[in-house]
Amino acid sequence: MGVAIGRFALAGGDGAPAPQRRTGSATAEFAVTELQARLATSPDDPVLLTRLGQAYLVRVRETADPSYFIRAAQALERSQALAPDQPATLTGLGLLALGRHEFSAALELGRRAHQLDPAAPEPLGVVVDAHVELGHYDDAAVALQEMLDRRPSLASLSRASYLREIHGDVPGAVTAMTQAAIAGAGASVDDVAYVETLLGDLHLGTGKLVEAEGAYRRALERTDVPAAEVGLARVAAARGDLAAAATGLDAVTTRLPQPAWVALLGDVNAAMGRHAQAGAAYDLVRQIEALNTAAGVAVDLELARFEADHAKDDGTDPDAAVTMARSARAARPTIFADDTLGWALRQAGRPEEALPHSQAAVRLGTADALLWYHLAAVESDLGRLEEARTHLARALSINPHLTVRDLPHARDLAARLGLPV
Amino acid sequence: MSILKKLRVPALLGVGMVAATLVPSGASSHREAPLITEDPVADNTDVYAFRSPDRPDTVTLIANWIPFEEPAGGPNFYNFGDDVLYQIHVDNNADAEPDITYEWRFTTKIQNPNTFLYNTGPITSIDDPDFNYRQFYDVSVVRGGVRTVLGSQLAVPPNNIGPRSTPTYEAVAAEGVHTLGAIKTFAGQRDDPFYVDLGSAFDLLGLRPFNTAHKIPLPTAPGVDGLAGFNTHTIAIQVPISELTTAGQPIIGVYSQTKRQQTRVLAATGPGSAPRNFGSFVNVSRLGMPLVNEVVIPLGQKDRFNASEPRDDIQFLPFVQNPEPARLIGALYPVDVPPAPRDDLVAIFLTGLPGLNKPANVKPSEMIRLNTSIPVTASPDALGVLAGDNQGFPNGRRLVDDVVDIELRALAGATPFTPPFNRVPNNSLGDGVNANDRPFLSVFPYVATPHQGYDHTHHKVGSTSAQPPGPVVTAGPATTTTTTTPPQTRTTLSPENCTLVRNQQPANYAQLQSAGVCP
Repeated sequence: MGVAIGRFALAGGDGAPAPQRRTGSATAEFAVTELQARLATSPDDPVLLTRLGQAYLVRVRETADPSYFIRAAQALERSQALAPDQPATLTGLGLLALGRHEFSAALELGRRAHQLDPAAPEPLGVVVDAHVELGHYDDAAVALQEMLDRRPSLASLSRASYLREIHGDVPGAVTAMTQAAIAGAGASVDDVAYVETLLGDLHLGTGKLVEAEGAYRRALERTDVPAAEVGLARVAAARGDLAAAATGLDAVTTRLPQPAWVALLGDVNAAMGRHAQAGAAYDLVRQIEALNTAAGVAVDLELARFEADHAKDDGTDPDAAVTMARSARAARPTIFADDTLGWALRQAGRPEEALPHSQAAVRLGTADALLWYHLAAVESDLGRLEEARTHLARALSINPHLTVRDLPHARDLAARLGLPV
Repeated sequence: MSILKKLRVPALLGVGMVAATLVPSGASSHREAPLITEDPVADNTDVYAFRSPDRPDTVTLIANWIPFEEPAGGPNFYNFGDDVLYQIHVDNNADAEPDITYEWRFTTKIQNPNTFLYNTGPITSIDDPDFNYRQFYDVSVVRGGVRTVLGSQLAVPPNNIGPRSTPTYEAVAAEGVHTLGAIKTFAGQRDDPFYVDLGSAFDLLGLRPFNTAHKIPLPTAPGVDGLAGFNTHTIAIQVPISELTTAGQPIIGVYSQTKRQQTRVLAATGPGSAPRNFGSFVNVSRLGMPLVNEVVIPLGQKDRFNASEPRDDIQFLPFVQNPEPARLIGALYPVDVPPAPRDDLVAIFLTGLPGLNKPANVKPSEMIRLNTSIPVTASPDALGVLAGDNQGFPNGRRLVDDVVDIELRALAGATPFTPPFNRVPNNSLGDGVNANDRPFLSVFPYVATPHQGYDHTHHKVGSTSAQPPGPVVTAGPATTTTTTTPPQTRTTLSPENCTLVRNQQPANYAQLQSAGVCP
């Protein structure tokens, strides 16, 4: 039979396939509705409240709507008051703490939940995530191994991928993320699409544009994933199609103005010479972060990084970026915090202070091109040209496309160092 | 798109925006990987074991996975897990160790690499080129640590989509029955054969035909089959009895496990080398007798049970000896239940019943125990052993057996083990759902044709009354007496039962208080 009946059945009016979400009890949306109905008749049931809180937390990722954090907090905290120290409630509170970037609190909650229910894998996931964000990479690996030993699943395998990626094992990270997608097949469509997007990010970070595009498109075939749309825009930018990148980022950030994506849109506009739009985007980033601060969210590493990147723009204060990066690193001493602090110091014209941090950032051998580029820039500033050349070459071999913002600077540096580009 | 428009949006985004940030490569925000996810392809829902009615020299073993398959399951539909090891175990010498294990491993193959669509036209045979999203499996048997492949790359039939995609569904599904010498196997979508009033049963043990007798009374109503109209994925195998049993021991223990392979987080020899991904298998799910994880094992122990092995089941003995649902029946209905320790339930769930399906020198462990020497009943009674049909549950489990009603009555003590409790109302308890929403097939794999995506309904109402109480049958000296006593009215619950409800269902405790039943 040659007739593509299935394709016509799925087509929207313009012939493009219409994405369809799987319905049924697998989605958190259904669970939220059900639980709310049951809570209407039994409002003080701690088991229902915990399940509702957990469902809200899943909704955060499915919808990227942060108001679900507030609802999750209300449900979980009430459940904790009614029936203290239930493992599922503590796990939910731990997830909430992670979402609010309260990583030490999250670690404590995860540990308590694990003690109370050693057989359950979920508390270990909270522990792993908290350890990673606190820079305790060895502890994270130990906790994750225990989680994997109990339950190989999308949740544990995607975390294994991340730890492998941090340790510089990109093929291993790809393998684990692919396994995570297989393990999650049949589960929430959003979870699988999310994992496929992460796979796309892995490929993109190592310059594999075709593979990255494939992964993002597969994710988008399943459901809406804003991060995958951003990924496609980044692929376009890496291919030099800045107009397509701008269009894509504009569309996503209209629906969901995540600061990092808005900043990226600004960078694309700047690269196209649209400086007014770029400036407006950068202003918007600062406004969003100010709102977050006013609302009590720990605005830390991401904003420090943004300010460090823009430290040499007119009217910005490079030393303020350093202060911000220092305080972020104090709360979250990860390799990325070291990188951000080193970069902020370098941008403030203080490369001697930057060097130890930039070196610390690459201590695990992470295959992240920006870490090595930043280190090379610091070394170049200090006249350590041999090391700078080695590290810049490494950065560009990991990902020749780097980012829209950094690539021109990296190319200049390469030229100065006598590296072929 | 004006930047100004974007400025109006942040009012919604204040709290938690940073938390949801996914930052491009570089200063990575914290990775919000999914944590609490379902795992339906590894979620084992039911196991059945019975002498095949049309081939009584064989036993049919069935295990189902993936609960609540919505028949309109497109565009992804339902499939087995490619990374999952599906096992059905047989213990034929009662030592709580598997002697024979059947294993299934699946691989997804997409026929046309240019599309991810499930089908590109009507599927009129299992090899139809329009059947694009295919699965194939290898089935093996393990005996004494040696694995033998019985069949390789066997086809899984499609999901039952609709009149355009699967116009001749039954015929195509029948092509999914594979004959391997004396063994038959099938793996694919089927109607979910389990039937139970889920909505009521987990609403504080509501049994609709007995609604007026509940401590929180409601009008009597017919039972509603919460699984009606839903599908599942079935793995079935039919094996000659002679291949499963040892000499002089016709009783086998049957249970299922679901596993995934271990993975090392970081390669032992450092980054850049091939990561060691494959180790031994991890238990993800385990199932033997129906409703064990719902009825016997408390919620907080579910993960522990799923990871455990039958040889260690003595650790769950306290839960079998004093199961919470039995106490709840006594608390919520005017029903006296036998006091703990419940050695009768230990027999049903862990050892088998003497004179029926209890092997000599059995090591207590949770399995379905099937006595393969008991002949097939010509007209099966859904109440099984309780109705005198000894080929029925809990001697093995047939598709037709009403395990919910049987287990409810057993929990209430309505068995020959506990004669004082083997009377009305204990022996008339039931959820009002007495049959599956679809008739079973008379041939392998017996599980019914799945509901079609295009045309199906859910939650079919069951019969209007509970099953009638069976005659009282004693296993010992022949005294057949039928006694009926009027249901006792109780004005208060025991302090222990009040405490139980207060801890487990605090919301409902208030109603018991206002009814003057609890302090």
